[in-house]
Amino acid sequence: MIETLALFSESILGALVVAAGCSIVGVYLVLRRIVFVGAALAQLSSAGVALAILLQSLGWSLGFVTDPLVTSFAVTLAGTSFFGLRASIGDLPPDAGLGVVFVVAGALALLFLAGSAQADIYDLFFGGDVLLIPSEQVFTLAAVIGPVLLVYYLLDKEFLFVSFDNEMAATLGFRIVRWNVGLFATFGIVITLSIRTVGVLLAFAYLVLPALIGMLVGKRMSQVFASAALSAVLGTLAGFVISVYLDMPSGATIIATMGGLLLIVWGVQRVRAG
Amino acid sequence: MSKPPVSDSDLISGRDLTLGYGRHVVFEKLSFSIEQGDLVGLVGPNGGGKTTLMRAILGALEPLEGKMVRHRSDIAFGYVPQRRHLDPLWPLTTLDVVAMGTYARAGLWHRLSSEQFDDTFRAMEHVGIRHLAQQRYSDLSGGQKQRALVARALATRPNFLILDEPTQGMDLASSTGILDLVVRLHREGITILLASHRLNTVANYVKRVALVHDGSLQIGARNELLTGENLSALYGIPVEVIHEDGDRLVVIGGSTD
Repeated sequence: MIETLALFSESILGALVVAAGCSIVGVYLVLRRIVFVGAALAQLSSAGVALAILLQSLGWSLGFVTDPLVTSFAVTLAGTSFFGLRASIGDLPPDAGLGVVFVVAGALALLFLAGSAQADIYDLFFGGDVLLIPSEQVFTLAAVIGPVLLVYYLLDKEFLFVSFDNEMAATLGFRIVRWNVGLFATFGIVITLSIRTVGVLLAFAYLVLPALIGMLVGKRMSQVFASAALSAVLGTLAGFVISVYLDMPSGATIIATMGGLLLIVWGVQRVRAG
Repeated sequence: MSKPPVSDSDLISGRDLTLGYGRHVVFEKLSFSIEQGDLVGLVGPNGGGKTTLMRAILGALEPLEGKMVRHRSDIAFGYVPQRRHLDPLWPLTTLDVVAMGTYARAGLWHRLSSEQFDDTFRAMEHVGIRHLAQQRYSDLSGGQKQRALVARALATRPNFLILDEPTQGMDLASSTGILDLVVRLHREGITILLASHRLNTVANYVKRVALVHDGSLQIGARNELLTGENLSALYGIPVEVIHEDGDRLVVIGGSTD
């Protein structure tokens, strides 16, 4: 089994980077009660890739501008700006905008693909696969998600303040719109790259499950972040081992492992609470 | 608040202000002043525009027309929002919440310094919640939460404190405790604007009153403005104002408040 795990060492490393990034971002998504921003951004990411495919199939190849990753980032960041602006204006129900983006972006992705001759090829690309993470992708993940996590560490009090009480923050001179757009941009960067690497389902699981475990375990923000990241890392490692041992799909096994961990933590808390 | 002509003691003035959100106008051509050392009660029914006016004074809402003029460069706002505005889901201790009042001074990227922690603990001491520092904020009682929010506002080192419905949902003892605290802070030299829909609260604690209703603002001395006639017009029901033992009680339809 060790040989098998060694064979997938790059995939494991890549998954760990994604796990760390998504679990930290996920804490904010859960606490701000906007977990479905992750789902909406996943759709936008797909729409961006589909747009690049469509442009290329129409013969409009504009160098890096029509690279699927670049268009995916561009479309996702446009979406995060929308969410960031609307979150601070707050004149619409929070879930209404998410629903609109989710269905419209999903439909556009399908329409773009329908207009392209290469749709079948890229269905796999949209899916992502935790077992097929190449070494250069691991480097890209570390080079992008690492700095994002550093930004979270350095700007923790600012992100916390504008998320917890934007009215008070505004009275102290914080530019709420800018901070929200910045925070949502980090969501977009991490989520887009994660989806491209491990697929929509596992990326979404990394966003939600570790954050919930962190909130059950941690009494303070720092403890919640640490517990979330630790549970994501442990869930990934344990999930990989279990999947190899039982010859099961790795992504689904990691999700099931983190889900099991969540149930155990929740159960222990219930027993302790009497 | 009141009188558009500027006086030496004016702290902040609104001049021909039109306030609202997008196309929805809440106030039109509003002019008023708040003086240094004022203790003003902002009274009106829910949805009458109290929060809109406070946000404009704080600078969190840009006027659609007109100007909000600050007559001193050293105005430092402390804002105490409604408690229900804050989500109990966040795993924050009382210390975390109060420390937010020092964030602007800490500066971008920086951790809080010992000076900022000193300010935080001093503010908690001031309102009597120092012993609750490590308690989770969401586990505090309504009165304790309100004190924590007042402490957070004090940690900003304000000279102008704005409180939005500070006694909402509180029992009589907690409510009285908070209002006594507000009066104490006023005596220490802080200008205070206190918004409440509870008439008796305002009637018995403030010096001046601003009545907000349906896009209009009446401002003046408490005794002049809190009359049965004015309040009946404000709330659309018969209101009688009764004086007892030097205090003022507002009676609506036979029952207080």
